[in-house]
Amino acid sequence: MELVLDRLTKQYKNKIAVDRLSLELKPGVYGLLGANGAGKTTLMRMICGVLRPTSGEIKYNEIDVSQEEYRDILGYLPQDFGFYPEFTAIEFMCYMGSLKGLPKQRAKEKAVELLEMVSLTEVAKKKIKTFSGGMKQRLGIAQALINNPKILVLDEPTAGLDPKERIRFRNIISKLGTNRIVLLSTHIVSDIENIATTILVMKNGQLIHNGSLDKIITAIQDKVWECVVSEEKADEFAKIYPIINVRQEQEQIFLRLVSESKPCENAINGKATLEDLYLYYFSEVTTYE
Amino acid sequence: MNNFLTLVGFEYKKIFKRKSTIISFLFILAVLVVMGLGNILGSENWYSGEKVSMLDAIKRNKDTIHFKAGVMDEELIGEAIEQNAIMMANDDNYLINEYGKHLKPEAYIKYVLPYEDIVDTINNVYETNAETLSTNGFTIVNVNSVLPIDTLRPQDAKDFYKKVNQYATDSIIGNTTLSQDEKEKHMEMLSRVKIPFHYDYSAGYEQFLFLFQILSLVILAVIAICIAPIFADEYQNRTDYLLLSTRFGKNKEIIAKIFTGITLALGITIITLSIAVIGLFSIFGSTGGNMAIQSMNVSSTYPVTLLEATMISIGVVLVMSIFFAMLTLLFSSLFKSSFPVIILSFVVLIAPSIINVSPIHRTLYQILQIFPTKACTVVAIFSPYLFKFRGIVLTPAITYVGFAIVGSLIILPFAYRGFKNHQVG
Repeated sequence: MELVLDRLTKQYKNKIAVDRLSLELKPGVYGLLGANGAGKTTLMRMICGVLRPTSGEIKYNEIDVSQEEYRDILGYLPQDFGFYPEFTAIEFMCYMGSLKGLPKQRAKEKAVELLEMVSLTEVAKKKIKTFSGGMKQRLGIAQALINNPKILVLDEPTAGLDPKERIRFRNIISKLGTNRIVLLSTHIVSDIENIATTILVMKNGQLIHNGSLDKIITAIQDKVWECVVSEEKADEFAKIYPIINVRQEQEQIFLRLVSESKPCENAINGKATLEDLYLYYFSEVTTYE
Repeated sequence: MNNFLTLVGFEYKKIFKRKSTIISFLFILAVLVVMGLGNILGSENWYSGEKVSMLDAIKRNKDTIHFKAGVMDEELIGEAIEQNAIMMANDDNYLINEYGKHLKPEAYIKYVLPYEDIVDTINNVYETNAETLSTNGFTIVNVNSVLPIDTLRPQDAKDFYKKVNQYATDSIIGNTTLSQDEKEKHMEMLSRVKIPFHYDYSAGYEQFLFLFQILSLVILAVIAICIAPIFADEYQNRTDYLLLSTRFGKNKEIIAKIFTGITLALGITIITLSIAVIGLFSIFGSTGGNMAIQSMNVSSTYPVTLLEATMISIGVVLVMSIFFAMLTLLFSSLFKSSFPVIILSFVVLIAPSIINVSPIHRTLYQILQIFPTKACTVVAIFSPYLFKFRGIVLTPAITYVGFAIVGSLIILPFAYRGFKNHQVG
C-alpha cells in the first residue's frame, strides 16, 4: 500500500504553488505543516484528483489519480467543507455513500455507524444548516470515511473548532492511521505533535522536512534560546529574531526565541518543539527567508 | 443501475429542496389559474342581451355552434349564405338610428353564430380588397364594413373550396420572399389538405393554440430557474470538492445530473401542458379537433387538423425544452453560481423574441426562428417560411425538432466535460 507522488508541480500564471515535489507515503498519519501559501491545500487537491497537476504523477499502487479505482479508495475532507444546507445529516451521508459506490442499504448502514462514531446520532435527522461548526466538521470526517478509504486526506480539519472539539477530533483521527494513509494539514502545531507519526514541512511549494517529530526537531535543536533582558533589548531582539514566547518578569522581559547563534550573554538553550520549528521556517524576519 | 437511480433521486431531492423551485412551480400554477379564471370569471352580456356567467356564455356558444357540427359541404355553406341573406332582408333584425344600421344580438344568435367560422372563412376568401384583411397573430380578420357574404347567393357555395384553394395559392405565389422550392413545397402540401372541411365548435383547441406561446415561455423560464443550479450550485456550495473526489463524481454522477435536468424539463413541460389542455377542454370542451387548421387561417397550406396542430406544437415544445435544458446545463457547468446561468438563459430566451427581422433577410430570420421562444409559437410552426437543408425543403416543425435533437447531442459532451474537468479553487 503506497501512495507515490513523483515530481509533482502545480504552476499558476505567476506562481509555482507546488514545486517538483516527490514523496512516498505508506500507512500512517502524516501531518503536513506549512504557512499560508506554502502549497499544502494545492498539494492535497492534486492528491484528491480535483486539481490537475501541471506536471508529475500521483499513483496509488500503480493506479493513477485520474482513474475511478483511485477515487474509490479516497476519502477527502476539504478546507471550508461544503454541504447541502437543506439535507439532513443522514441524507447527506447516504448521498455521499452512493457517490462512493455503496449500495443504498449499505450506505445507510455505514451512515448510521459513522454518525454514531462522530457523536451525531441524535441530530441525524436534523438539517445540516442547523449544525454548529464543530458538528459540520464531524459530519465532514464521517463522510470522508464512509467508503472505508485507504487514503484519507484532511485539509485543516480542526480549523474553527474549540479546544474540546479539537481533542475529540484528534482522538478520532489517531485511531484511523493503522491501516490507511492519513494526510492532514493544519496550522495548529499541537494537533500534529499529538497524532502525526510523520511530519512533512512545506515551504514555497517544496518539502523542506520529512520525518518523525524527533528527527525534524534536531534541525533546530541548538537554535532555541531563552533569556531575560531589558525592555529596550527585548524590542531590539523582536526586530531581529522570531520570538516564540514573551513574558513579563518583574521589570525585565523573558524571551524565548530562535537564533542561529547565542543572542546574548545570559541566553541558554531551550528544548526545541515543533512550534519553534514552525516559527524558525515561517516567521517574517528577513534573516531566515 | 440502482445506484444510478439513487443518484438521480438525490439530484431531484436537491432541486425540490430549493426555494426557487417551489416558487417557480407556484408561478406556473398561478399562470395556469389566471389563464383558466380569465376565461370563466365574471359575467358578460351574451348576444341576447342577457347577463350570464362566462361559463354559461361559453356553453351557449358551444351549443349553438355544435348544433351545426358536421361536414362543411356545399349544403352547409349554402345554408350559412342563405341565413345571412334572410337576416339582411328583414330590417327587424337591425337597430336603425342616426348612427347607422346595427345587427341586433338576437339576430346574430339566430343567423350568424351557428355558422360563425364558416362566415369568417367566406369573408376572407371572397374578399377582393386585400387591404381589409389583417392578421391577428395566426388568424386572419376581415375589417371591411361591407362583407363579401352579403353579396353571395347560396348557389355560390359550390365554388367555396375552389376559392379557398385559390386564396391559399395566391398567398403563396404572391409572397415574393418565398423561393421557388418553397412555393412548390407549399403547393404540394396544399394538394394534401382534405376537403370538405369539418365544422364544429373548436374554441378549446383555438384557446390552447392562442395561449401556446405564453405557456411555452413560462415553461422554458421555469426550466432555466430549476436547472441552473444543477452544476453551478455545486461550485457555489463548495461541494464540487467532495463530488469530484468520489468514485462516481466524474462519470455516473454527471450523467445523473444531466438525466435529471432533461427529465425535469420534460416533466415540467408535460405536466404544465396537460393541465392547460385539461383545463381549457374542461371549460371549452374538446370538440372541433378534426377541423382543418384553415379554420383559423384560411391561407395556410398545412394539411393538418386542429388536433394534429396541437400535437405538433406540443411535440415541438417538448423537444425544445430538452434543448433548452441542455443549454442551461452547459451554462451551469461553466459558471460559478446559478445567477449568471439564469441571466444568460433568460437572454437566450427573451432576446430573440424582441428582435424582429424581416423574412427578406432570410438567413438571419431563420437563425432567430430556431431559438426556443421563436420556435414555440403557432405562427412559427405553421409559418409560410420554410427551411432548406441539403437541397430538401423542410417544414419549420421538422427543422425545429431536428435542430433541437442535434443541438442537444452536440451540447451534451460539453456540459459533461464542463463539470468533469472543473478545477477547484
